[in-house]
Amino acid sequence: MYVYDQYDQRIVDERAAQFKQQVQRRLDGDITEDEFKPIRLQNGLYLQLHAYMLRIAVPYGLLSSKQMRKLAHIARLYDRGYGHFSTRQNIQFNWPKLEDVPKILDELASVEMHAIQTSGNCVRNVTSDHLAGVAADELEDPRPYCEIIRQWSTFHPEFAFLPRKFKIAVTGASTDRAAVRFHDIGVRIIDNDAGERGCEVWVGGGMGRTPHIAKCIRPFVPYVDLLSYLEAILRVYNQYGRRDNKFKARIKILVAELGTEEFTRRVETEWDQIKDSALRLTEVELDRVRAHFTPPVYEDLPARPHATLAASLSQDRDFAHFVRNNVKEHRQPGYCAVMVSLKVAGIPPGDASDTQMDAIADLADEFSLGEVVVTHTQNLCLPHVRQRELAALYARLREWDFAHPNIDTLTDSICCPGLDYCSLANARSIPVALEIAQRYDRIEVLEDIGEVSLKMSGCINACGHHHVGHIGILGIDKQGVEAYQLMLGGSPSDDASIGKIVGPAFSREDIVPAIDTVLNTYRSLRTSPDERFIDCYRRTGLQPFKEALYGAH
Amino acid sequence: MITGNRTDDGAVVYLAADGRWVTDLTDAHAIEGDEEVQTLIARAHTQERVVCDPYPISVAVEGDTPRGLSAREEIRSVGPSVSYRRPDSPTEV
Repeated sequence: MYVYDQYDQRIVDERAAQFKQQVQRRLDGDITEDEFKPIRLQNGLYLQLHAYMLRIAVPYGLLSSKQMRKLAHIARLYDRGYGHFSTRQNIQFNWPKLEDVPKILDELASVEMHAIQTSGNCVRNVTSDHLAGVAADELEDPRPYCEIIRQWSTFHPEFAFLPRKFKIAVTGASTDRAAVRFHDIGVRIIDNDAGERGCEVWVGGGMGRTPHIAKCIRPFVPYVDLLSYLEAILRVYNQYGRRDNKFKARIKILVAELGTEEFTRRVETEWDQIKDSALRLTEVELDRVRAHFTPPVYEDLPARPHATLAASLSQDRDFAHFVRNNVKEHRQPGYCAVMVSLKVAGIPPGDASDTQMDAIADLADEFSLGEVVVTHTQNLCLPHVRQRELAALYARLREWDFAHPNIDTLTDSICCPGLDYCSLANARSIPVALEIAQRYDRIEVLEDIGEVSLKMSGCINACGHHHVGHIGILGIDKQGVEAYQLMLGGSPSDDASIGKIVGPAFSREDIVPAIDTVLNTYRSLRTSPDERFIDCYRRTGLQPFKEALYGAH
Repeated sequence: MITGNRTDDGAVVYLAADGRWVTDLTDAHAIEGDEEVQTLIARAHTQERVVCDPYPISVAVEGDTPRGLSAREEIRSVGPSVSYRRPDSPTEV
């Protein structure tokens, strides 16, 4: 867990005090909405369909139990008793009153949290692998690098008004669980052939109305040069990125228009000017930041599964499903990471109530060394669970509706708030997700379908990552009526791909039956139950799915 | 009709015939001419302390009940179409 130093604390305290005055001036009528809007956005405060929405930063998704309890308290006291965990590993509150927002920021500052740069055309919350620090396939914990990037980018005067928002993801693992190829900058921590530590740098990925897979512009940047290289990229983007058209202002468009070679040349030219500046990272500085992360204190435990666990698995089928789908390998012998599903029939994906947030904080203290991680798939993760306590934790999770064994299955869908909340949306997404969750509630059916990702957005901005779902759904507006485009074949990971639209959009009534058709087609086409949906799709192509959905012609 | 979001809490509000901003669409003032729309929008923009981003919407009136013509305005008028808080425990479902 990262612990603030005096500068971190002063920044969030002062920002909360400043915003309190700005809100008062707005409430007193001293400033107009047009004047207030950029100020509130810089503090994560949106005006949505029915109310204000406050987006709170959760850097690299990591929360202490104390912070989670504070979020529960805020949900209870200032909102309507729940929060929404987002695909940016943040949390959003959907109903705060304007006059309460400064109080909320004070509450957040008291537990080393804030809402700074969760909106606006600046560097946003730095995201990471939800298994960072515990993954068995990890070269190095990426979170100190994320934290260094957070500190560098917070209030960076040169990058406060970029052409558009800017998202950075960092992973230290061999398997990409952070969708680095779909970020403005994706960083992979690697070693080069000489055994030196550094980063592979990907630029120009993104979703939205024109999805792009990022390009690797430098296969190895020594770790000491990471910040100067990022600064060079941001400078080139800031100088040449389009400001005349909001829809063409992201860095992905600049990279595409210039070409990867020319973009890289400009970055390298800029980098030559600044690589030996104060931005150069030293091992001392890296160690200083690392030292602000309280290390988890593990017991010395044997690697083999605990006898009690083995017995429980053989006696309890539901528990066996849970262990198979929701429990992930841990680098520390005798430990595992437990995925807490926030995808339950009847409840919007990613939502948790105040009492559930309190409960997860208690469970984190009791079972996970006081830490919780928000995943970009809108679930929570308890990252440090002793294997021998899995059965006990499972029983407690069930009490709170947290034990659905559906991680990485169809109903573990990503879903944006859609037209139920969002002022940009064209169609509702949550009711579609809920209908699918209800229809596919049986774990035996989900396990038969196997690993498949379903991602849904209520508009072209793609907050629900529909472009990279094995199955993607995009809500559109057809003359005031909601309709849904279906796409297949996307993936956010190492096999990054962008889904293809199957055909004409479906009505609200027809979209879920269309999903049934896609899944039935897959089951009829797969070579064996082990052939995953995405592998089957890549083998057969779009045509058999298209024919099943629309007929042969 | 003229709608916007209330400055204090962001709630959806509609302009009533007496000039108040009300939360119930059925209490809103139905406008029939473009000229009145322009006049009322201009006036609403001078009330920024009370309401943000006012704009006109089209509604259908069935009996005495107005209804937003687009999915967006229908949802704005009644709130999210999904339940939005988990019960405290599964037994309360």
